Amino acid sequence: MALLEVKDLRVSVGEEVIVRDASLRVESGEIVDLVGPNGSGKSTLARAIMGSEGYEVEGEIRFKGEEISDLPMHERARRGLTLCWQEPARFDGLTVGEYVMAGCEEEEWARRCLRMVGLDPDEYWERECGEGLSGGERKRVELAAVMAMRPELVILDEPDAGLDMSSLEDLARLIEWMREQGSSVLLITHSRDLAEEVGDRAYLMLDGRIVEEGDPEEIVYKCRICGGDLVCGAE
Amino acid sequence: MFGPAGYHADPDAPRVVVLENRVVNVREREGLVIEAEEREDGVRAELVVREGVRLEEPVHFCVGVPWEEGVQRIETRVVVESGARVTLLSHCSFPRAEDVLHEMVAEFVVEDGAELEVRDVHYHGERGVRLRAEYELEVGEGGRLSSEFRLTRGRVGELEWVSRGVVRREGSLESVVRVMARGEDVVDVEESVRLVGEDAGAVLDSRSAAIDGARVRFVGEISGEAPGARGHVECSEIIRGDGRVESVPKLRVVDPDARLTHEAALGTLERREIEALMSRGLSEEEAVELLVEAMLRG
Repeated sequence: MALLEVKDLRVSVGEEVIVRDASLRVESGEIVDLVGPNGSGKSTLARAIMGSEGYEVEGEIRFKGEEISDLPMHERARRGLTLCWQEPARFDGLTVGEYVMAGCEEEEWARRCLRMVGLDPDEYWERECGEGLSGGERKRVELAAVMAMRPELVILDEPDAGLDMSSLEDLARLIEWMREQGSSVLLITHSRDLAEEVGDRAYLMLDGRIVEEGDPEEIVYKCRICGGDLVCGAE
Repeated sequence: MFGPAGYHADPDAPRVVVLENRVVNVREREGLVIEAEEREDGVRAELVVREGVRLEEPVHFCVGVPWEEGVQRIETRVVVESGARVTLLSHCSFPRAEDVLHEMVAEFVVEDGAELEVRDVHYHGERGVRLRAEYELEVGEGGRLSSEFRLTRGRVGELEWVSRGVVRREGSLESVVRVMARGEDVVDVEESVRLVGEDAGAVLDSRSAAIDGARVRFVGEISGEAPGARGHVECSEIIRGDGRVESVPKLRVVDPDARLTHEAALGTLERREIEALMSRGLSEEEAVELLVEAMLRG
């Protein structure tokens, strides 16, 4: 039984169909890439799997064998599924500690997760998420908050956006560390280096459809010849 | 004893404790005179901090009704004499209230060069109480009065709050109000301050949330009546569900050399903030509560 199995998923907003007949699976312990050009529907698929409001969803989403399409987002999260959002919100007034602890019961573990993303918890714990953080720091806090949950499956939606090459190397190590801690990963990325380095398998998404599944290097190559905007770290 | 509104941890701290209409404990300090008397229709308490006395430890003013029903009427006069200083921690708790009326008539006099800081935390239980409060505030020359009213846990009930202040030359008054109203709660706050002395200043800062049908009305008025008077009214309100908010900053400039400003923001919580917290396992209600509490903390 796959950890996550999505079958024939169709996601629309009003009349507009954004994802068509998408199927994918993530096995326990796997890191799976989802690549494709901008606007191909990757983030919409991620949000639909997570249960975000505003989408009409048809098809099957099974998590640990259970059909979760009708569950509200927090119930999906309580079953071990979470999403690392592409653009973290500001959370004015909320402290870093409060945000990281929102899905976590062990403060020591949450502090360790902050350290793992390169933020000193003693310095950041009481800092406000809104005005107190830069965009890059907010992204790191988002990653720490996800890890603090100890999820069974995390969907990382472009965690590399806005990070430089050295941060990408850290990010690759971080994703591997997530796996060591028991989390499987569905990784949405525009980074060729990241996709090839950490992915066990990969899917290619074009125009709202998942069109290929295979080895990350092969899928990354096909993505590029299909006009996908994958970049390597030096570009 | 009094639940989430808090209570003094130190049993020796200076204090007045009023349970419904009974004075159950008074503890003075050198330079702090407290007279509290029970009357037929309530309690009258007067606190005077003598001239030049600067109390380091806060004075606790604990009032409440710990049972389901009751009427509490309190008349308070606080005088901080010239050059004196005190912090008043007011805990008003009604943890089991089902049908409770709390009426407060208060007068705060801050004499020349004196300082009074008031932190007023309320807890009205899970059903709320009817609270009617009327404050008269007077700040003398060079005096400073800063007050903070918080009712952000549990329910409100019905809150009617009227406060009128007068600030003399180089005096300052700052009032912070933080209220979270839900369901049937009704909040009506009217604050007004007259800046009658040269270079007097005032800030009225209100933040509230009206959630799921609650109604909140806030009126903050500053009148600049002397040269160099400076005032600012800031209102920031969050609406959720079918809550309703009316936020009215009012400025009156009588002296042409007074400068008054206001800033108002009405808004809803961002959906993506709520969803980010839901994706960590918080229910929508829990996510809203955490975000509103964070907003009201500032």
